[in-house]
Amino acid sequence: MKPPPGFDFPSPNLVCKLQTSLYGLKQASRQWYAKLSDTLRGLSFQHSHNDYSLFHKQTDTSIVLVAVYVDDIVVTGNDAAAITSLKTFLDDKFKIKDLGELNFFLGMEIIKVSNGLVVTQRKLATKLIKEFDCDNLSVTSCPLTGVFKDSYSVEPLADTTSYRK
Amino acid sequence: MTAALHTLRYIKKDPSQGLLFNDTPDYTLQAFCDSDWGQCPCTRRSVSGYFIMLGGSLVSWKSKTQPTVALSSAKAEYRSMRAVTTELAWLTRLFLEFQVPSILTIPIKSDSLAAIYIVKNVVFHERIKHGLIIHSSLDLCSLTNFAWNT
Repeated sequence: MKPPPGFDFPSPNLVCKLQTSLYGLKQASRQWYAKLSDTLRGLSFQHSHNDYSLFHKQTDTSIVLVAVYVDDIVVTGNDAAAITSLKTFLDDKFKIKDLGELNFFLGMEIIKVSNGLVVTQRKLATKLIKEFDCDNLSVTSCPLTGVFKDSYSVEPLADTTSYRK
Repeated sequence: MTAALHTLRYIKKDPSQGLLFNDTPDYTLQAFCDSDWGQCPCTRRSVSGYFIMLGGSLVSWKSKTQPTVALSSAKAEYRSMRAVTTELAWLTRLFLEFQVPSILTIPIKSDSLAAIYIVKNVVFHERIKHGLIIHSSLDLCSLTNFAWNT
C-alpha cells in the first residue's frame, strides 16, 4: 500500500504502524464486518448460525431480520418500531443512507405486486442485449438446444476480455 | 459464443421476466431434482439440477456439472438427490432458527425409479448416510426427520 498523499517519510526504510483500519487495506473488509457485527450484537441481534451475514432479533411475537452484503443492508420484520429504532441507531453510528422500500439489491430489481414480490434482472438483461448488439437478432423461445454440442471443439477465443468483466 | 448469443436471444424475448414470491403464509417445502446422463461430449460428465419451492415460490435452485463421471443414469440421478438433500438440510435448519412452523416431511420428487429404490433401501445401501425414512409412490419419495451426518 502506498502512503497517503501529503505524507512524507523522513527516511525510505520506515514502516507505518496503523492505529486504525483504513479503506483499501487487506484487512479492511474483516475490520468492517467485525465493527458492524459488534454494533448489531450490542443491540442484542444474533448471528444466524446457518448464514453468518444474516442477523436476527426475536421475541415471542416479533422478529427483525438484517441481511448484510458488505455495506448493503436489507432490514425486514414484523415490528415496525424495532426497525425504525434500528435504523436510527445505525444512522447514529455509521451515517446510513435510508433508501426506503427495497427496490434494488445486488443487481436484482424487486417490484411489489398485489400478491407478493417479483424479483427480476431487467436492467442486466437489457444491458447485455444492448452490449452484444442483439437488437437485430430474432428472438427464440428455447434457452438452449442440442445444436451447440459441437461448440466444444471450437478453437478458443482470441480475445477473452468480454468474458471477464 | 454462439451459445451465449442464443441465450441472449432467449432473454430478449422478455427481459423483464422475473420470479414471483407470493405472500401466502404457506411454509410447505417441496423439492424436485433431476439429472441428465453423460451429455457433455468432452468429459461425459452429467449435470445435476434441482429446485426447491417454499409455498409455491421458488427459493433455491442449482444446475451443475457433477465432479466425476457417473457410470449409470441411476447414479447421476442419485447424486442430484443427494445435492438437493444437503440444500434442504441447510434450509430446514435456517427455517427452524426462525421458528417457521413445522416443515419436516419434505417431499423430494425425482423421475428416476432406480434412484428412488436406492434411497429407499436403507438396510443394504451403506452409502446412504442420511438416515432416511422414506415412503414412496411411483415418482415420489418423501423424507422425514432426516438426521445429518455431522
